[in-house]
Amino acid sequence: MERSTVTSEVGSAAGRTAADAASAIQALSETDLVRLKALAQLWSRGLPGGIGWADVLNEAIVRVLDGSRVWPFGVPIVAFLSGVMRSICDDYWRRVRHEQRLLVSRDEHGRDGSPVDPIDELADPERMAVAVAGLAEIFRLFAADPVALKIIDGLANGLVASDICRAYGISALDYDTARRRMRRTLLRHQRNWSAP
Amino acid sequence: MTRWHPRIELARVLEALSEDIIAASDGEVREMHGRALASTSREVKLVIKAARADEGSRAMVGADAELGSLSAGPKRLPPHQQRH
Repeated sequence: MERSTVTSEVGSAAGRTAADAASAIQALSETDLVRLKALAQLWSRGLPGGIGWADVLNEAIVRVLDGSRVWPFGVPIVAFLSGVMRSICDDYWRRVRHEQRLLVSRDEHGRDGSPVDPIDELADPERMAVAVAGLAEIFRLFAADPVALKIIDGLANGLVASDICRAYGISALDYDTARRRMRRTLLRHQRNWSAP
Repeated sequence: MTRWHPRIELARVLEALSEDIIAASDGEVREMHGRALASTSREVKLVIKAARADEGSRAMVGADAELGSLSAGPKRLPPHQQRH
């Protein structure tokens, strides 16, 4: 995996030093630590190879501490670590897919190191199955909350809050209240979230 | 006919849900976790401690060695600590 040349002692115009990030991680509150676990579980869900939330969080912190991921100014540390974890999981899926392609078609065109066709990547059956299961699980999680289900459907279709309200006939107040309920449901059911 | 891309839809939903988790107030996190809060935070602290040690050992060996990367498989915590 590519690493930047930024060392842990030197920051950049775009971000803080790794030492700053290390201090911020060290100073995380109990509630931030719980948020981090919830985020790690969210991103690592369904990863192949027995990779779990702790592996993903560990790797994210290592990359921040060694300076390969630079903490940008103005981004809260938890949000930054969440982004790093998401990126690590995406990279991991991509690598798994690439290795599968190499195994399946060593003698075909893909062996020259050409980038993976994005459409092909989208059609990766294993990842697609995990995605379908993940979506089904999310809909199940909020099955008792019709407004939340509409919001999730809108989010899945790439709509922003105002569009969701307009498309599904939800008031802004109902939208905000439902998002709060969703937040609480997510935190409450966090433990059930990591297993595919 | 438009092709269905569940992975893209899931990515969008996960992004939104991750923002919800980040936006949750301390009070909400405490309320939803109750007594489990302390044990969960201890568990995450252990992961952070392991990451610091990993980072130190990678620095000693050299970043190119990629020791402990995800491709090496899960090994951050002993099985009994890998709670889900």
